[in-house]
Amino acid sequence: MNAPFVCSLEMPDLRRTQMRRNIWCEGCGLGNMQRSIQVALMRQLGRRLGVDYMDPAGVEAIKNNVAMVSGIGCTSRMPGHLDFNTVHTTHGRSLAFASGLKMARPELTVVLAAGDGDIFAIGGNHFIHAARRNLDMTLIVYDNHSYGMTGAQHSPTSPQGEVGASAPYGVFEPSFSLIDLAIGAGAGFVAQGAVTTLQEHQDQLDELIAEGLAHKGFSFINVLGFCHTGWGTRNKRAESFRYRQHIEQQIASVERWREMTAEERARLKPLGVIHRVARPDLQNTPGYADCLARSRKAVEAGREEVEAVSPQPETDLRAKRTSLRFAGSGGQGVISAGEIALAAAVRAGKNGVFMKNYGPEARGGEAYSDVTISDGEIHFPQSDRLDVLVALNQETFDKFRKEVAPDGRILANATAVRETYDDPRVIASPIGELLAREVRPPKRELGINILALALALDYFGLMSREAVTAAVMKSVGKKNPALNQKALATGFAEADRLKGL
Amino acid sequence: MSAAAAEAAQARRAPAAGSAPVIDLRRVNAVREAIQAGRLKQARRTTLGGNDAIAQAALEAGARFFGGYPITPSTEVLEYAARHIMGHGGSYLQMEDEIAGIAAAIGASLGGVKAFTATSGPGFSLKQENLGYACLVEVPLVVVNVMRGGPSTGGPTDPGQSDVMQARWGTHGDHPIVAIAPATVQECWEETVRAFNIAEKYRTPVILLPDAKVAQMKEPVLLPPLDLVPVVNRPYPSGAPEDYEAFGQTASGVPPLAPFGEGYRAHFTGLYHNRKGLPTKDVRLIDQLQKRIHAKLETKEARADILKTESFLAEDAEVLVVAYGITARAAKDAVLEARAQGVKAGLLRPITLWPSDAGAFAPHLARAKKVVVAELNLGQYRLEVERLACEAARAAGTPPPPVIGIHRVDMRLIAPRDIHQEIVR
Repeated sequence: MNAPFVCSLEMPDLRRTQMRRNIWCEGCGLGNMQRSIQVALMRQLGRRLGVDYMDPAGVEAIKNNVAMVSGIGCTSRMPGHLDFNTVHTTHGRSLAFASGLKMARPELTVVLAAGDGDIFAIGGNHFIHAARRNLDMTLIVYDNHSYGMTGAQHSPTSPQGEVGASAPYGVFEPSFSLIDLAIGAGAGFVAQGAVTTLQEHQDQLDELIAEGLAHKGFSFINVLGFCHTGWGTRNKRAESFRYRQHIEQQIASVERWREMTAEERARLKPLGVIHRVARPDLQNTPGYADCLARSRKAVEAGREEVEAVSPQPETDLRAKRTSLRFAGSGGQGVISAGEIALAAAVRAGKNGVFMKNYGPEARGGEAYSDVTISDGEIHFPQSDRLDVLVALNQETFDKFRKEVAPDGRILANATAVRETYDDPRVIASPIGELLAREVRPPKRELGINILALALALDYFGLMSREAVTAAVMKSVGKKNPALNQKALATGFAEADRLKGL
Repeated sequence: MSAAAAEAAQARRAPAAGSAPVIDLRRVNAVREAIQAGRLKQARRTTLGGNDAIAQAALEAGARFFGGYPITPSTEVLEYAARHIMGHGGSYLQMEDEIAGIAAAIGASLGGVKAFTATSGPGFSLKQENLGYACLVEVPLVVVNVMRGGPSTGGPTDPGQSDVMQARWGTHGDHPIVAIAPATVQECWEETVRAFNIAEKYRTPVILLPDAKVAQMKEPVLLPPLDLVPVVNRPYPSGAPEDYEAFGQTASGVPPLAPFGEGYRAHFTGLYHNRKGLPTKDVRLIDQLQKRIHAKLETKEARADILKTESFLAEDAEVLVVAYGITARAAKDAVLEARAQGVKAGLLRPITLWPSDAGAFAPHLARAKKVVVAELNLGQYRLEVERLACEAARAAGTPPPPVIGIHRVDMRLIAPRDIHQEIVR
């Protein structure tokens, strides 16, 4: 019981031959919409692909190039009937699926068929962002102002006062203007067609969809449709013919509509191309091309070098581990100090684990990172007791002192840590003053992490100066070599001084 | 078709590597094993964060689309993709929500491009409907879910392992699922490549389940040169386009999947469908479909590819610890400590959590006098271990061993001493 459609006999049929029966009711307007989509695709795609749609090879090329995506609902069953690459997705999500598809395969013509509930209620967010994003896709919505498949519940476009299965006493919610929504969200092509009893509206719909396909960017064609067996039976328009006539009474050409008074406009709906703005589609914007070029550069720059590797003796499963914590205020670079310590450990042929610490305690101006290093395996990368704490300020000194092992060591920045409670584990060094005097950073405290890192790793004999220097110069040192060299030298010199004490 | 498009199309059709790969990802510590065996003589040495390792591995496994949404503690995956994927000839979108992130990835995958998404607990919940779609429509896809505390917003920046059951049963309906929990950064890389290979070879979504600690930590890694990364592609149809059955019966149970635009047109629907993909109400076809999507992951070959469990000093273990992810690292220290004291303790670490590795577990469960399951939730995988223990005991004709849980949900990790205490108790 196929829905009737106005047939142009000379046109080939793009439907699947295996789908012999469809779920649409007799008289449904979806047949009209499907026919218009076929006509528009043949006209428009035939032109774009340079093929003749009357030639079977041309039809094949058109079918192969089209990907049709839909969500859930009566309209969304359409792709099943059409012999393209077709995806019938989940409720409301067709535009999101289609966006990924179009990004991945820009050469495909991506067309969507959707109902009003699918695209404007559950899928409303995706509609807004698809319009904003402006991928080159064409969305055709059959707006029958109801949920047809589930039995005539009201939708976001239902007229107030009319009756639906879930609005038994009348729809009390306001509806909204899809046209305004689409334009506001940035759609470059917005048109409205209708299914009526008149051939001119069928022809117009063919043309509107063809224009939408021709438009580069997101195009939206709203089709004023109906559900005579659902919404219609509840609102005295139970016959297809009668409902089609009802729509005819509600429409005016957009040219005429624009000349009308506000009251007339509120009563009638414009038909035709309502909004058209030429702007490059997402994948053809200068910004996208720039990102592409910059990403290529990043990939090139990030290529890791290949080195020779050979079988190694089995690693010690219970090797000693040393756990270090770099702590200070946010902005002192204690996170990168930890990362550089890990890199230095790896350079020195050791194993290591770095953990930055998130959490409310890290947000309140304090930051810290933990590094565990070992010559063997490191299973659990967290220690009950720290072997080394580097505390750049009083707050972190106070906070983490009790986590240091009885035989552990604490390197305290004496410039900021005034009270050490006579803790015998403390090694005090005026790190802040050394930085200001020797390194003289352009910005306060820039490089304090490197100075402290060099001092700690060298003084406690954890890593060679070469490994530390190489790790620093390969990371932050790239950006500011002179300052970091000075910070390293100052740190090492201070280590020498402390060792001499 | 432009030269670049033709090259991309060729890449989509590229068959899986024919010869035996240098790196056998079915093995634990696959890269290290290849070096120790002398098969791998060159490698890239670097240090990486867990999330970065996952994203890098995805691109090296051939992923060319990422769809996602920012969420702690998985955001570095999105950020890495944003920096690098276009430079590899791919693309990404930061979508409007979590649902759209997985939807876009599925759309790209159907287009013929390997795709992935990344999220954490709340976002994983939002993705569940489309995850089910990918199961039934047999879409190759990798979903990274970095586990944090839950339910609800919970502890966004703190580690948890509480999505183990959501990974298994989060979407509605009977469905097979593969979920993999790496424990090191090296494993983040290896298991991501393996996840893509499973997803492509078996046309199924694969969930990567690192906990926040593993995803956020940085460790040294050794990666094979790019040309030795063992990459598998989805089966491409061999027959004529008119005979193409995107959901047909094949010897492996996995039907071929052609990229869009190459003449092999098909329909993909979340409705029950026939071999051509068209909606059906034929009970025989529906039954076949539902059972086939399970059976394709249960063949001998599939089990060898999918199941993976590390046995750590477990060969003669009387006290068997079961743990995964970051908790397994604590368990290793605990087991070593117990062994040093003469206690016959061992660890079984499921790397593939789902489907569970009953074959690897059975002999150990049958021998164990006590089983200790440690995990950062209130006993999600313990349920599975209890089930396996009962099964193993029934088969062996012995009473099942007691299964004791060590569980924490207070944002703190389970420490080695917590597990050690239970081993020696």
